[in-house]
Amino acid sequence: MKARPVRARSRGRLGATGALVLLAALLLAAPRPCAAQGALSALQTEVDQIVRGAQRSVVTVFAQRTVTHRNPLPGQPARRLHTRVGSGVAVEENGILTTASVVLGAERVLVRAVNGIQVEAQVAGMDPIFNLALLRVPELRLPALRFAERPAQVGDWVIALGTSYRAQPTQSVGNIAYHYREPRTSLFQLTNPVYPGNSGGAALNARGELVGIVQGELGSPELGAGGPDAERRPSGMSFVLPAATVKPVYESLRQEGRVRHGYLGVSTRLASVESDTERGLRVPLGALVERVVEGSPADRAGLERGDLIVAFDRERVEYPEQLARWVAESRPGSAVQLVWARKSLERTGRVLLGESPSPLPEWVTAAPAVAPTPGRDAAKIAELERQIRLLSRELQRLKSPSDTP
Amino acid sequence: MNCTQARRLFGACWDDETTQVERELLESHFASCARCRSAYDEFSRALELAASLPRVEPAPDLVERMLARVRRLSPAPDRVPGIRLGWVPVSVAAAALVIAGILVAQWVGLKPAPPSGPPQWAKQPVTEPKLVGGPAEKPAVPRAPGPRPGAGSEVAGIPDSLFDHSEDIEFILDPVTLRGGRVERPPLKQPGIQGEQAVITF
Repeated sequence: MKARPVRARSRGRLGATGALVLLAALLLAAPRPCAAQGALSALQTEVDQIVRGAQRSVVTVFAQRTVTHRNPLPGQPARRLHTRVGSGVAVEENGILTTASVVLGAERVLVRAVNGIQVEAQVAGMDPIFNLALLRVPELRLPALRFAERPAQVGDWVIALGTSYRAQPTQSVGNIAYHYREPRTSLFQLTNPVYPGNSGGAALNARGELVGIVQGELGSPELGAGGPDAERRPSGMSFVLPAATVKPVYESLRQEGRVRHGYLGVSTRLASVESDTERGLRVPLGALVERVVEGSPADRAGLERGDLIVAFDRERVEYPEQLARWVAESRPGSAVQLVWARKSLERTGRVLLGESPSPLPEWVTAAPAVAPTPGRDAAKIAELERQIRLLSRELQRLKSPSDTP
Repeated sequence: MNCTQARRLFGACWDDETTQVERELLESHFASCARCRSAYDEFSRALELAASLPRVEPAPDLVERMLARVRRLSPAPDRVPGIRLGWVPVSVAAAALVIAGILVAQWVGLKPAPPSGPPQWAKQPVTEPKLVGGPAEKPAVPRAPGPRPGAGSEVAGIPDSLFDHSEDIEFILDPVTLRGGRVERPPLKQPGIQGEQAVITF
């Protein structure tokens, strides 16, 4: 009898065993509705546990001030109490972080805990640049939330907690969709929906740690103008100030009651030209220097009236508020690189920033001054606009790499 | 012993290389099987005939080549197979067990093990907000105002009727705008002079 080769037999057995293992693997990979349902239920349980633990640390903040109505309704007083409602997060037993936009200008601040206890709060510190405020509630003990040890990243799951109408708690689950980075600070864009009154709320990671403070949503309409019944169109894009930015600001507010801001020493206004392609559209060019404070960092760097500041630490400056924010967010004493245009020529210089004399810079909290009207000195303005056009072309040429000698 | 097994032993029997057991099994088979007996006789005659042929001298390296070939071959299986399970039934049984296990797990709805240890929040007890020196409690909203002896004092609750006066209440949600892929947070000041007429100092 002719014997079968040993290798061929081994190969056959191996193939057959492989086929059986593959069959078992396919069965394993097949959809399992029971297991999927279990995973979803487990996820729900975990979210509930995080929310139950953290919701006690989230409070409603009421900031009241008296406003005078110019045209009060018949039978109603001209002076009435106006209340701004936001959210807050306990980061200490009696310390609450909220946004400055909630408590700015308030005469009286009240805090209501989730179990209904309501006490007076004092504003221990406030910073309108980073839009954060620290409240003290000496008569209340709250469970404090911890800041996340690991910096949050795009894709991380986030639970947003806050309070909204009638001080009722709100919560939403989403993730970090994008990280906007600016020269001195940054913002997370979340997929979580947020609600009116959520400003100052908590953004938590999957471990129940604080990854940021809720600021607001994309281009929200004037809230409160029409009251709770007013039509609101949620944008679906919410923004959170990351813990990495919040922590140093919180430390400054806790220790000094203020945040020290950078100072340049210039008064600027927007410079723009009409678009070549779209009629009526004004294209911003940068911050046009109207005045340089004598002896200020800008003065020492050689800036003059009429200079057009176009870049700050290699970031393009288009609006004066943009430059003002970046200067304010810088530490006093830090050196920054400025690029400005003077008489169609580009100039670059390093400026050692000073310290802003006021913790609440006027450009953030007060209405701006008014520039000279065009009618008073039309010829001068026309000449300035001609120069701006020249500068615009020069900037375009500088930005184009092909024209670089 | 069947005929196939018996005929496998013909060569060994001729060379007298069988064990005692094999020989006894073979002889008992020959006693009951005339065809195998006859086949063995024919086999013996053929070998005797071959032995009578003139001797041929082998190649000088034949021994080395043969030995090398033998070493490459795996050991021959036992010529008298014992009772052992084939690989096919074992594999089928194992696969059937795995499939049955999976089906049972799906039916019962077993939960996957947690990926790691419980996070920090799960270890901490949930504590209620409370007044300084006072016990945790859940009062009705709004609460009655007034200080407590030896405890922090509470203030009058915001009446729910306030929420119905739209002009007197404003829910804060700061607007954020996007300009060319950059976020812009408008200043907190009241709307005033805008655009190129506004001068700001910083």
